[in-house]
Amino acid sequence: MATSLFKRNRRRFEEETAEAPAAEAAETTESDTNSDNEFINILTEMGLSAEQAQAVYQMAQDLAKEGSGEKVEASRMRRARMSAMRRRMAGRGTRERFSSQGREARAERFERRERPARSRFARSERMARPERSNFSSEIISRQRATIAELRSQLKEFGAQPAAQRMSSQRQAPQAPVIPAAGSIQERVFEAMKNFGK
Amino acid sequence: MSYPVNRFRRRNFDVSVAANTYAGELALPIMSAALKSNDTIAKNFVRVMDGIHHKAVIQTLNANDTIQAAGCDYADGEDLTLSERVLTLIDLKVNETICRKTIYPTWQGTATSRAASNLMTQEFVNYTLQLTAAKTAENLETLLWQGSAVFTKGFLCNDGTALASLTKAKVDASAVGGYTGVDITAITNANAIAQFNLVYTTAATSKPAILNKPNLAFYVSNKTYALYCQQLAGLGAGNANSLLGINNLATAQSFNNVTFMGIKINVCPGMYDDFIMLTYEDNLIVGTNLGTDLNEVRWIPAYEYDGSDNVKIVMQMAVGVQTVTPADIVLGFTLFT
Repeated sequence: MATSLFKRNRRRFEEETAEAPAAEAAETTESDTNSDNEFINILTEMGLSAEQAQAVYQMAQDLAKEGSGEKVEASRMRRARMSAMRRRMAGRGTRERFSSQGREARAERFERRERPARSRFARSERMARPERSNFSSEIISRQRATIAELRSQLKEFGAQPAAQRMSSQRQAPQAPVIPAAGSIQERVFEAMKNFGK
Repeated sequence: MSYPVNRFRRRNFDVSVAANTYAGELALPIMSAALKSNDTIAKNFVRVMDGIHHKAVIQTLNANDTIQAAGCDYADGEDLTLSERVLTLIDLKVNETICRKTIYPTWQGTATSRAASNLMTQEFVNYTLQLTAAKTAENLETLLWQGSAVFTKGFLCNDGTALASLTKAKVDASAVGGYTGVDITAITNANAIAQFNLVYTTAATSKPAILNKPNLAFYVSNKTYALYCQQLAGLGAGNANSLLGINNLATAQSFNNVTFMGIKINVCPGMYDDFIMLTYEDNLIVGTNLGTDLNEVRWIPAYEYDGSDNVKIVMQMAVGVQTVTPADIVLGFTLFT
């Protein structure tokens, strides 16, 4: 009885889910076309020609697409950051902090930290997070571009930090300063006390 | 309640590191204090050259009048003379044994912190090293001026002979050999001014050029300086101007930064009494091997190995003295004739 009810419900759910997106898509397209026409009509009424109105509409669409793309990217980044923070914060409640479980969790975290990053996640897990690696590579490439730009600016000013090689020679050790005042013993004590300060 | 063993904190290495050897850079603070805390070096009475491995060549360029009449051909004036003086370091060492039982209560008395255990803390190690370094510095002060059998040539003698048996030959064989000499009598609080004046007069007549040198100074021992100050205070006979001494204050005045004819007096405890030397500070050089890997300090806890209650302190270093232009040194002493 229970099985047949389950099967019936499942079938109904599958039918609904199969129909819903198609209808939704049709509705969206229809409403989109209407609003587009309305927008173009308004523009032509304002005095623009049909071609000009079409061009303006196209520009507005492009801008909206780009804006929404950035929004998605930013929200994804924010979500990734928040989830990472949540993961870090997890298990740090007052109760857990003092319980033996909390200690174990901390020890586990510590162990994980000790392991190299590559072995921290399985390969499949790493592959399942392509968006994270994309973000980091984007950030890195952006930073590289900034550095290259700054370097070119510095070059124009005559300063070329990359061209100046750091000396590989070790700096000569600094001898302690021997004070002239006091007895010999006082000088020795002072010199050794103040060395390296 | 049980605490899990953190396996990442447990590290067992098969290497035991002794923390009681200070070589090269680590020896620098201790060796510097040992070699440079004496009056002659700490007060910059001499020029110090560090980082010498064994020998250093000090080059001097003497020039006569280089200007000549103009002509079409090149005519070498041959007025410049390049000469050199070699400063050779003498390898020295300090080997001292200190009984913990003897020194520990002294250290406890002077240390401000209260130690509850009998462990040899780093402070105690430093204290014993400092004591030894201070005694080494005191000893080196004498060696610099008088030399010794092991140090050989000092500024005023080549073998550390006492003043009573010192000869002119030994002074001539010292680092100041080639000096401009003047005979003075044994210095008292009645004739100190006159003896200073003899040396000054010799400089003015024979070596007037040095009177314009920067850092020109008289070099005297504690005794000579004290006798000079006494005479300045009017205590000795012969102060014809006033028995109340300079400033008419007799002995009720301090004698800081005393000069003779405006030339400062450097008091070097290692100098012989009855010697007055006039030269500039850059003319006297002390060389050391500080800053090289050749000096070393060891603090050996012998009590751990031989059943004694001793710690042993070892210092390895090298020091030497030399003068740049000996003729620019006016030396007054009683053995001159």
